[in-house]
Amino acid sequence: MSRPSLSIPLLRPRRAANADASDWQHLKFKIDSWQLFCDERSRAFGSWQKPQQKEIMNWKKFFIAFIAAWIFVFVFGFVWYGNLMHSIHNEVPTLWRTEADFGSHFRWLILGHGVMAFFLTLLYARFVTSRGAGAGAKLGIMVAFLYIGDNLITFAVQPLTTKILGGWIVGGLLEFAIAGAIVGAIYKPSSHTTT
Amino acid sequence: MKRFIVAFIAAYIFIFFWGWLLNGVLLKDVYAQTQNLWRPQSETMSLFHWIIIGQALLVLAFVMIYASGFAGGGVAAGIRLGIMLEIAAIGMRLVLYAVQPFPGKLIVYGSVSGLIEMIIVGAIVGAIYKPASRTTT
Repeated sequence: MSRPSLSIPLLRPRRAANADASDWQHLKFKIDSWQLFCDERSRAFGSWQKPQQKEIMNWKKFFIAFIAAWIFVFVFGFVWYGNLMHSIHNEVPTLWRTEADFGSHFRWLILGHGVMAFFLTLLYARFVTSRGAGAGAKLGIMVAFLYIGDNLITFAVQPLTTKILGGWIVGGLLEFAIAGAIVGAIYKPSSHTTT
Repeated sequence: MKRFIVAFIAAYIFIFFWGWLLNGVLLKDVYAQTQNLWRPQSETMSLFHWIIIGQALLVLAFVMIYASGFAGGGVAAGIRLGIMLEIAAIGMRLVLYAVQPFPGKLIVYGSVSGLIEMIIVGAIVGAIYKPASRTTT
């Protein structure tokens, strides 16, 4: 559950000032992930220790990652849910809007994908320390499980077929794992500073 | 791990009763206006285990995300995560609104109640789960 420390070397001297130096000889502190919150915003909330190291948001990369993720989830949704699952969805036509009605609500589809992509990117940029496509994919999979939980509840209350449920689960996992990987591959914090 | 399990159970109990109160009692009339979109009551009851599994998965994912990136921030960090994940879920709700003939007010009620739900879940998880302060030799 914990992640590698960002600031073990920096934390030690400070503790050492208040403790006997011999205390440190046999101890290695694995700092838990609260160190990740060492940014300006999180300091306003908590009483945890002052940051030794912080990452500066790279807004340019953030924006690129967000747009790339947005485009991906939108295209994936069109291909997976709109095309590949089209006939499966049509097994329960009463559940869906008509083509014309869907067209008049299309802006909500675009906005919804944008909101999802934005918050996935924000989660990654702010709170994932290990960088790269793998870390992004891992976050995406965890987020996908939230949606899968929601899909299972929906299955119990809406007359979805098991094929639709299966398609949504697989689609959600793929969609968020790949979107997370895209964000992870693109986003890099701009710099590390020591305060 | 113990705190992880306790946080999971506490959040799960809350989400279960909140879901019942909201969907089974408060929004009952709103759901009744769109009966063609829902299973009959008896059918839903026969699939009730999926609700339990779905809620458990949702809470498990929440606690896992909290534990892997937010732990140690306490209630505030839990609430922050809850808000972020719920806004992302509102995005998903908007996508569903575009493709399913839900009335707009159901999306609004669902989003507002979802936000309250996730804020409370975040507070519960943040208050209970603490990262292990491990010392190794």
